[in-house]
Amino acid sequence: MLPSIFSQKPLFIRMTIGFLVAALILMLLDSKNPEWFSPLRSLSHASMQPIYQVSVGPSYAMEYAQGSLHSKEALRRENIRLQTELLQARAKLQRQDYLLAQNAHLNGILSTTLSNQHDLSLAQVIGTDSNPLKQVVILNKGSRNGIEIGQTVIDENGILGQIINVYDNTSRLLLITDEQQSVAVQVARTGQRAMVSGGGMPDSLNLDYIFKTADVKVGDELISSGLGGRIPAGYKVGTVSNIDTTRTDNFADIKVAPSADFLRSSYVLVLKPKVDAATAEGNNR
Amino acid sequence: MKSKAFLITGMIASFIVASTLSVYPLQHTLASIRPSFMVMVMIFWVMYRSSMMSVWAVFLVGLASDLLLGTHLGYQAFCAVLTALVLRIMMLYSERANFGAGMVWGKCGSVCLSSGVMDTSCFGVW
Repeated sequence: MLPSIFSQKPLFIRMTIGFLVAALILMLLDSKNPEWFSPLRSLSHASMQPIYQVSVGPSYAMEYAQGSLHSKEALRRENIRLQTELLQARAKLQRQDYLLAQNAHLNGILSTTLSNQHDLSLAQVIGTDSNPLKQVVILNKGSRNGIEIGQTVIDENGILGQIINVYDNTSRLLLITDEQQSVAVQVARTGQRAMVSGGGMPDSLNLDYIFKTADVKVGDELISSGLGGRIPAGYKVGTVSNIDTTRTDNFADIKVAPSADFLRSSYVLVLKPKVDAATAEGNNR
Repeated sequence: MKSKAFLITGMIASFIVASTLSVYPLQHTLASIRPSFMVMVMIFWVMYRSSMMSVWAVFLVGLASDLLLGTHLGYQAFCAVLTALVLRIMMLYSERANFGAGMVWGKCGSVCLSSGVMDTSCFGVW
């Protein structure tokens, strides 16, 4: 007879019930006062940091491989494509300069404050968080590259979210699709102020507290208004994709298709406030 | 005595490896099909050396994965303790049913299957 790997064991029923009750009490305490356990949570995040550190390696290797393993023909083609794009971008920038000058002039007339200037720094997404239900991704830039908690992150199409944890070489980015995130926006067509909240899904956002009678149409663009004080004004958030007015209260159920690509964005831009511009502005006042 | 120290070291090492694998950042498509390493290793140790993997150890493993995965503190500890209890009951039952000598692996499979069903029904997140 084969030796059984199952030996006779007791069931520990009483102990099990005790621990189940303890777990229930812990859950209750954690949902009522999450701040009691925040030192423990930050400790666990700090212990995850070396793992993130290791995972930066493969992303650099991939980057290196992508940079060095191209055929000459592909590089030439890419070069031509990029040159055309650069030309178009420069042409657009000319108009932009004119608009900026006009805007500064108008701002001077209205004596409103200038919008903040930002430096952009490129970072790479190296992976998602351990819990796939949380809308958190990990970036390969950290405090050594000047990343700080609260900085806004965008991709080429729109706002992605803000930084919530910073380590030496890595940082965690909470996307605006997370259930706990909201962005102050305004409707580009009408200038109406509103708030966009995440729903926990990577492909849709909700536009909250808009009356059924309000002038919002499918296809309206939403732009961040900067009123929350955290996310700077003027960046795209999304477009209205569906309006449902069958709710019983006065507000409409409005779905927003985010402009940033939360699933496929591998390179992102971190907005750092320009220190010298801000201080210069402060001195002028 | 020496073998027990060896086993405990192995247990701790296996949980460290499992927690590393469950935290390691992955692409979005891969992350959604990531297996629950912590629960797999815990089931193995509960089956292999039930006396060492007692209830408080299971509870601590659950708490650790709560902290790592950012769920409510106690949520996965609750699930882990419950899973361990069901696993113990299943093992006791399969032992009494007396399958015979050649059925050790069949037994093993039935226990794994039942605990797997329990696992998927009990936890959404793990």
